[in-house]
Amino acid sequence: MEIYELSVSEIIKKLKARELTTTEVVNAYFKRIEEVEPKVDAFLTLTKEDALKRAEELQKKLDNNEKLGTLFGVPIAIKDAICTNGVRTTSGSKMLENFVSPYDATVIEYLKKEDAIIVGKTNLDEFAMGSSTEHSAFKTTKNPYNLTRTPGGSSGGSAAAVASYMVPCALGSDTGGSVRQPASLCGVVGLKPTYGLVSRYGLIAYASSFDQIGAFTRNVEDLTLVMNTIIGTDEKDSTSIEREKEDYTKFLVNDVKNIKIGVPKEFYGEGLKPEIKESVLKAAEKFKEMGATVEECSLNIADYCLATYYIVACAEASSNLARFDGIRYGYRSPNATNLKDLYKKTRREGFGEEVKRRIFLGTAVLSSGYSNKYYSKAQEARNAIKAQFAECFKKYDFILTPTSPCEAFKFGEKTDDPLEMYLADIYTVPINTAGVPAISIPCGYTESGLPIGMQLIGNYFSEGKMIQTAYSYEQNTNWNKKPEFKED
Amino acid sequence: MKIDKDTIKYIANLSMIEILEEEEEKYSKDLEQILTYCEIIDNLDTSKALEFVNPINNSNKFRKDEVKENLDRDLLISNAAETEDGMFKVPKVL
Repeated sequence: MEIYELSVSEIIKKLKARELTTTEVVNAYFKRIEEVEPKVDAFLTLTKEDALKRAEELQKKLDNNEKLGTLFGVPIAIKDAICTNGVRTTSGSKMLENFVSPYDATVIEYLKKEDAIIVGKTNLDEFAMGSSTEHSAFKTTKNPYNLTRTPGGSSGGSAAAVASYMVPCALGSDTGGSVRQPASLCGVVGLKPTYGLVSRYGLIAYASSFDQIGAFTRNVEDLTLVMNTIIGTDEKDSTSIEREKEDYTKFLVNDVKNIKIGVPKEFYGEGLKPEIKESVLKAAEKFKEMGATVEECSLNIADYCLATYYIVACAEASSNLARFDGIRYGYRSPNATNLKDLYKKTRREGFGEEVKRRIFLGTAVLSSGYSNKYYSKAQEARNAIKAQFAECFKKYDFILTPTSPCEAFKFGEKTDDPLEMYLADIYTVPINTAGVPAISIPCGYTESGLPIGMQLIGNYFSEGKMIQTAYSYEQNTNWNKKPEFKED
Repeated sequence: MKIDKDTIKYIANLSMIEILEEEEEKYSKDLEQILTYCEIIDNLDTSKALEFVNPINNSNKFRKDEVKENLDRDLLISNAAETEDGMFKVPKVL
């Protein structure tokens, strides 16, 4: 077995047993990156020098028998929307092409404290706005299972890097599905935690009341180790929750006997590819076989959620992205003659088309005469949606749905029609709209060999049991086909 | 919501983003299509729902107002396009 094929937990074990050194691990991953990255294009920045230096420091720690962190010596990739001190952080935008973050996001501080090794920053849709990573200002990331298709988005670089074994784990951010949807399209595990469980400090904001940092791994056990590292209260994020940290490794138990799963019929209707429907319903049968209670239920919110999400998220984005003015940091237009002109030209030249579309949309729904019709109504809808979820969770521990209505789609397939692209998020946005957690795990392949993912949605802070449920499914199935980098 | 060329120009101006004449049609068409789709929420009964504030905690959080070490000024402004004497420089305002 090659070093790059090891899981997070195996790497830690082998390092501690001194079967490997941290430098060997880092070198093995960079060798893999050199081989695979030219095909996949998952990274915007690689930090090999820093990673090797860090590996040396960590090996000394081990040799001196010092206390070791929870992710000791584990290489990790970071979505380029998360600030890393001294390293270029672009958010996939020309606006931040040369921005070097002067500080670490809280999650990066935690990762460093727990001895993880950052190997690079991954590609994304500009400012995390998109579902295919095609809206990046820099490059197009390919799906490792089929290089003519997208990895999903917006955290497509992180998902593709994990799926193609360039890293064993990665961080992403999820505003409307940006961790779960690419996880599903790339055949890996992706978790969006409860809103407030992970600090957003240092995450470049898209829509603050939806944004949440999440993790990608190739199996559920590895996910618990990353999650244990990144959760926690943070006084720098006023929406972070004060709550005792759970140890998610305690939930690695193969048992779903007391778990009740609801299967909402509205999530299996029009617009869902038959192959995907079949796979997810088979998974529901599997849960039943394993001893869980599985019942059909009703949750008639998907269309409302998509509308609500795009109204409120774009409104928040139009406000959040007002900070990009060409003055304090980031791109500045060389073509302006006065201050107002500078703002307008900088923002015209620095932002890509999709970002501008969402700023315009957000500005429109907040504008005088329309804010009641759109924004206020959507905020009320958000509470009504939250109430519907609460009703569902009175009966069920988890709700099982497909993660995405379609498998990995071809480049350019949805870029001409923004609404078509937005519909790719139809099953994932309800979760952020309510702020509850959800996980995407692999549950099959299409006839053409592309991964299919399913989504388990839980109540606030149900990550522990959610991990147990996902882990049990994983132990009883085998969806581990390696990507073949097909070119047709 | 009907979005004609004048509306998109108005919105672009509010957004502080320059828009070219040849882009007006595309953006107005896109926005109109998306906003028309969004009108679906009119069918959702929200008469009992309050306006949403935050998914979990709805109260403000306060911290002590203490002097703490901050990031270095020169480091912070090093990302700016133009600076002078530790300050940001902008084109002539008046």
